[in-house]
Amino acid sequence: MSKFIRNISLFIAGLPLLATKSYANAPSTATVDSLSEPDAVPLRPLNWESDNLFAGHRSHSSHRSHSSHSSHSSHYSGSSGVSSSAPSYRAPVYVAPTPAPTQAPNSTPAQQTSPGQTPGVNRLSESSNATAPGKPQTLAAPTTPPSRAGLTSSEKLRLQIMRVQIKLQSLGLYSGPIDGTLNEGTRSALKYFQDLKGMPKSGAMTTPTLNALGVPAAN
Amino acid sequence: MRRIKVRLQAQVEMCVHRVVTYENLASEWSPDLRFFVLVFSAENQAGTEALRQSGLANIAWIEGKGLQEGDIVVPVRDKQEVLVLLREADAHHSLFMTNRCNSYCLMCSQPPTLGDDGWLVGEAIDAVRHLRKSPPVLGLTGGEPLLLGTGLRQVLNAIEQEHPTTHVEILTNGRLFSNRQVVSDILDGLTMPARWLVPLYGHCNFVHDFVVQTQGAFDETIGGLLTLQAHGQQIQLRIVLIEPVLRVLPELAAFIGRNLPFVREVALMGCEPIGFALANRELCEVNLHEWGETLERSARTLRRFSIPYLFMNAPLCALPQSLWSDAHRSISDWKNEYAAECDGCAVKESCSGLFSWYERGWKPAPIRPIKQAETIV
Repeated sequence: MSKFIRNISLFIAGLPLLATKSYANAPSTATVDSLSEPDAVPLRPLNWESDNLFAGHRSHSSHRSHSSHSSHSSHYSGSSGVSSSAPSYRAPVYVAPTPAPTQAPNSTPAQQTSPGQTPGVNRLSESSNATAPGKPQTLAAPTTPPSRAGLTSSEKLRLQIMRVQIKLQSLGLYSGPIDGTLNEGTRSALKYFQDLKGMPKSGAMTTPTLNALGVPAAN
Repeated sequence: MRRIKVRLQAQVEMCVHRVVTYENLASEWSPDLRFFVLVFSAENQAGTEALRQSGLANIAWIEGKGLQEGDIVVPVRDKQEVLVLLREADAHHSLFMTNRCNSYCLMCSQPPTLGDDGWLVGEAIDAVRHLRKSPPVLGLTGGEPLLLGTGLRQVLNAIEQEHPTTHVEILTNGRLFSNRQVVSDILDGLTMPARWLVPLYGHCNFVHDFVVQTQGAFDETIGGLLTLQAHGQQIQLRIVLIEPVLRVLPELAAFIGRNLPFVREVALMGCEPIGFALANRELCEVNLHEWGETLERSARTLRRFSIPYLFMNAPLCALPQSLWSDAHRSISDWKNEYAAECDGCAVKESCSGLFSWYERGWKPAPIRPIKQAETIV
């Protein structure tokens, strides 16, 4: 039985590896250890490496970062329009995930699309570039709560950055707008925080940084 | 429903919010929800205001004793007050669906109103979305929720989507399930775990129709019960123990055993001394202690038909000792109290206690503390 659990957890831990190259250096063995010890106190970190989809993300404007995970590039380029400099958050767009495995068949339409958006248009734009980025989403679906399943990758990125900005501001390290863009102020605040914690000063939302901040990754 | 006095940031929306601590805001914040940040210091308050100015339009600070993290609250207009719709620590969770009803029961604890309160559906869905932890059981109450038709189905769908592990209990008189359109609006393709709590007050139409003060209600409720059974839904029958019902209770138990053997259980409930029950006091105020023999006889009949039953809202000292094991702690946390006499009671821990308004109304029986020696059978 325990061998079976070990195998299945190895398999689950390996799923993200199959999906994108950017996970290639994630320590997959850690998940297995915690599962093979059923009575152990679950001392798991807030986020595993594989939870954090945006560890290498530096900013929206720099296209250099996108080359690291090429499969996402088509999606990210579409998000540049979303990351406007408007300080207030805009209503999120709930696009029904095209291959939705967790979505109930009779869910209310009101909850999947935001009021101002026509669902048909969203679905079209989603399916036109969903071939590659759609995949990791479906694979990750069983482990994510259903309410998050409707977010596109760029919305998750915005959410994660905003949570980091909230935390940094409440720590007194950041005073700029909370807008979901990894701007200069956010990066320098991240670097300052990483320096305080003795981490490499990357200015990126690495998984250890998120864990130290106490911010759950949006996935 | 709990009302809590609070101090609230100006210009908040009069709709559902989740209460979150300042420390946990970063980990719980989400753009599609609204948050009240529970502040304990001027520092936290200023921090929240700064966050709001930095672009978080969906947060506001709140200060109030008695608020808990994770509470789902709605501000009351023009008052420094919030209503707590759901609280994680509660033993019972329920959502109020409507105040309209098609019956007019003698002992109604929530007298119906006529006005359109359709906005409650949206509020219920919002509350479900804001709820952080899935409760094991979520009750939907009213009024009569079936009057909402598709609105009720929307709430059920929202619960299924946001909290797939939650069991739903719907408090309804079932009468509208004799209408085919309502049945298909609500029950078609419904796969989530749901239980329907349907009151039945007599084994014949004139008793039931008298208690619910509506002609033809008995036939419609029986039709509704058969419809629910045909759709494979779970049913709990609810019998409120007021005088006209107690007089026919053994016959009613036999009627259920013979004609409705498919019900999951029968709940025998003490009357809540509020609302119409106060107006119809001569019919609703009973001393359960005097009806002990009737209760035992009815329980025996139900046992003989293998129908599970339980007692609700009935303190142990009001019941014959043979029925103690069937009594449950059933009164919602916010309206549950114990009398002064209960302090020395040996079985207080397992006793339902009393409704908070027993002092303005009445007690279901004279309350007396049970001694330790009595508990050994």
